[in-house]
Amino acid sequence: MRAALIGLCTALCLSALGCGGHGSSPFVSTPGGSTTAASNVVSVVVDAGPTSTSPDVNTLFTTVEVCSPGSSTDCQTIDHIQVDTQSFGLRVLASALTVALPVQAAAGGGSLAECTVFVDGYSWGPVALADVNIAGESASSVPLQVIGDPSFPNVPASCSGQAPVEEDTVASFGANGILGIGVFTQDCGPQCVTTAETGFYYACTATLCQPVTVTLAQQVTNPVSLFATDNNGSIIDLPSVTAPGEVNLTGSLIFGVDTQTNNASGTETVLTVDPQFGYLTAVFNGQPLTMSFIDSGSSGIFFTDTGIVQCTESNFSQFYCPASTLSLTVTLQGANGVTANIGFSVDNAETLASDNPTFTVLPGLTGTNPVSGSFDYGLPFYYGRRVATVLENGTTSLGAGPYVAY
Amino acid sequence: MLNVRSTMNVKKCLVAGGVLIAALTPCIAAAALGEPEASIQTDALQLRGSINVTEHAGYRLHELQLPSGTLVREFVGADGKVFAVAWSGLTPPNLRQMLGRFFDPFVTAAGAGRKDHSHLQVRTGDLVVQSGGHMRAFAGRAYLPQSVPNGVDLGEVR
Repeated sequence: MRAALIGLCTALCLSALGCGGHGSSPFVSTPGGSTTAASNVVSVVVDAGPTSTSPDVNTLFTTVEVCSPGSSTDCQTIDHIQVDTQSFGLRVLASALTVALPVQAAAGGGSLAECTVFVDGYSWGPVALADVNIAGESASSVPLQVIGDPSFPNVPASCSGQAPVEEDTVASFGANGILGIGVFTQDCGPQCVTTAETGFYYACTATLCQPVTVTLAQQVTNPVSLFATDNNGSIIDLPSVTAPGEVNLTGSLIFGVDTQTNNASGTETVLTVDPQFGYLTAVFNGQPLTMSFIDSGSSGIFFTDTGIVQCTESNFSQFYCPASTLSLTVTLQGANGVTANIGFSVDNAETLASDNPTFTVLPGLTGTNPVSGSFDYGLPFYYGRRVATVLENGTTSLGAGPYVAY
Repeated sequence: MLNVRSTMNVKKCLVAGGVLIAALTPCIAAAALGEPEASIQTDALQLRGSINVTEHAGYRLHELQLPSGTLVREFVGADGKVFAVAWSGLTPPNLRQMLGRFFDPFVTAAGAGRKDHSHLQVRTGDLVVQSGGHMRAFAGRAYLPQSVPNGVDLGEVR
């Protein structure tokens, strides 16, 4: 009965992106008048994203609701929030936000702001608090970043020097926000508690922002860890994709692992990751690549193989363009020593795009990796798999996090 | 092999510059890539790092351990100039500082278009920047291809 109700709720949630939160009760009433557990499933989609002028590929989105802390009416549902298993915490573009959220105070005075550094760019804005509702899950007073807030117009030079491109608009960011549900609880962790790092947290007055230490509780925090239940991790469940790709793809993001009947572990392969950086090892072409990771936020499979022809068109520089599709294998190796052979295809990126201009789901999109010791297995890893990400303090029937299992 | 070890942990700039270092104005306008070896001292000041220096075939290596735990490595050729920098750790170092006069060309070449958050590769005529990783785990390098000493394997630049 319980399973059937959860299944029903799952189906209902899947029928509308962003099910749950206010306006639709997360609870299911039974004929006897009691209630069952809240839904822990939200729909996710791979599509072109929020801006038609610069469509995304291999980018996974969901919908979240944010509310002013304590309010049940001052709420907003925001779609096209990217789902990212290699960042930590929720970030929302100010231009996509209509509800007012209180900015946290920095230690020693001023408002707390953050410089979020990605490899390709930086995002600047205040660290606010919001109640976050996703599916039937809720977390209160979650520290999150508001990116590109016009009240914080001056990006410190020590922030803009961290990466080349300012990503403070929906168009430059590629999403209305990002939901970081990777293995870590905070986006910085203990280091920012003790050291005022440049390129992390800042205390801002009207005229000046300077690096500041920040407690773990004030840091931008993975909302999963703050849910009342289902808080040890999450599962991304995407259907398999027919080669060479599809226009869109819809699947599920399930919260908790071994906390409900719909997220029970079975015989999955568990790959633990190192507790400091979240890396695992990928053995590719006989080389152990110790800075490797599985990342729903990466739009392809990125590795170095000098034997594969790179594309020549400028838009595709650093992508691979073999004359015909290649079938390769990489061996993933967890910090626990568990290994798994994973086969994947290397398509011709230029042909993929030119033959399938409407496709946003491209499992064979591959490119070079700028770091010689790294294999970045992006969203294509999740196609046709059910992949669990268990948090650093999470435990399941299969063991303790941080780990990835499929 | 000669081993020179000089450890320093400098916060004078912070003291002298006060809040300026954290704000908009660099305390000292100098940088490492393409600059004389002495500029590494400036990097150590700006980045608040401690330095360890070792000699290798074809280059001298300065390793800066930053307070964040990020390791920065600067490679100096026989001409006394920095031909490469590399980093790994919690956060990248300040690339404006590390790349110096090459930072603006780097930004221009990286372009305003949206890319992937996990990797970036920029090649201009006289500069290569290769950067990757994810939040809480970054690695990368920048080098001047025309200045890499003969016989030095780029595989060592990491």
